[in-house]
Amino acid sequence: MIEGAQVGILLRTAVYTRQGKLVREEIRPGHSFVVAFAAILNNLFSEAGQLATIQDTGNVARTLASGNQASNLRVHAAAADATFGIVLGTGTNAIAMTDYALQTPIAEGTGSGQLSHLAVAFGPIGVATTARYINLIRTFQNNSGATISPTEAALYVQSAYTGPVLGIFCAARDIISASVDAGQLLVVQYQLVFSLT
Amino acid sequence: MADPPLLARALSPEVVRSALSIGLTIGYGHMEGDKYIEEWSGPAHSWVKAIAAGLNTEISNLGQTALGVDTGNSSRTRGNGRAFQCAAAAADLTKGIVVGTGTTAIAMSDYVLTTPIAEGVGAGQLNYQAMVFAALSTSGTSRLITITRSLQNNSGGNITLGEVALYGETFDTTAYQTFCLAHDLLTLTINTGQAKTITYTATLALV
Repeated sequence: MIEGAQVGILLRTAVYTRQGKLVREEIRPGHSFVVAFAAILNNLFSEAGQLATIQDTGNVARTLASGNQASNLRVHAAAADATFGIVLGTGTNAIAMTDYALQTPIAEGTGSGQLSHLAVAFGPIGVATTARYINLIRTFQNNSGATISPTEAALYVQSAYTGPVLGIFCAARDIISASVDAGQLLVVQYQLVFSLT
Repeated sequence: MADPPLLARALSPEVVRSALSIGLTIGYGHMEGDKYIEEWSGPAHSWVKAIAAGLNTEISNLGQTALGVDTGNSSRTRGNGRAFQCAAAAADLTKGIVVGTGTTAIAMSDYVLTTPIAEGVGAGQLNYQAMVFAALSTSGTSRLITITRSLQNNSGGNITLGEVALYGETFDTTAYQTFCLAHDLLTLTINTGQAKTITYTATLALV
């Protein structure tokens, strides 16, 4: 049980026909900021005073760097880039705080078991009286010719490690249940909720 | 295809509560040598809007640039530099944990302390020590970010705090500017000659 002021994470999956008609939608709590997100935030707050060594998505230990890049939590992946941003897989292992990658990633493409990744989209901050919302959205198109059923989603971020070099780290991972028929679109949305408690 | 609907709408409190995964607590205590002795801790209530805006610029890699207002109530646009810098040196009140005497209820739109306590040894002033950051720590399956600051009262009189905030610097288009990331009410008297240490702890937990 955690207490105090909260940043929550919600996860929405929605399947659309090619014509944009909603087929099914599910909104569930996200469960899973994992260790890299904490380590990168600690780096930012401390102005690189705390440079943890964490696994990147390739399971290589990387020591975070001060990195004067504009951003150290960037998820702005372009279309067809499945290396970061919101990414999907077919693994079903339970989530652990130490997760550093999807269990079984779904590749970019139109081949069997592959999805076409559109660019990650962002919106301005959502505003409510006692809350603010960050929305991250990625659409996946199934051009593989057969149904694909993603069972895990993750948020991969780019952040600087020693060099400095931009590495890719898993900031969040969740178990989902989606079935996308051939030709259909799957929209995956992470929402971060900041609320007074 | 139409734009996918955003989730920025009212969801059931049960759904939102079950999604909560980064908590923030606040506490105070004192140092005995290099050991922190906690006297009280409890839930903080108030990440405020600048933390959300800053994170949106960070995640979008400046695709979204609105930072909102800084502690001087000037609207700022994100530029090419770092965010959330809280590592204040001693006597630096432009970032890090800062305190005041205000008691106004906290709002998500807060951008500054209501009544800041200045640095110094004059009446009603405190000496702010440098911010201290711990390595990421583990508690069960959670990870803890712990940041602290000690406040020394050399004013000659007792000082009662009413509010605490976490200020962080983020680069706008020309320079680093100060933003209020969290703001909480906290009643604490620091007697003359005493020092107290304020602690913010962010807990990332699987839920």
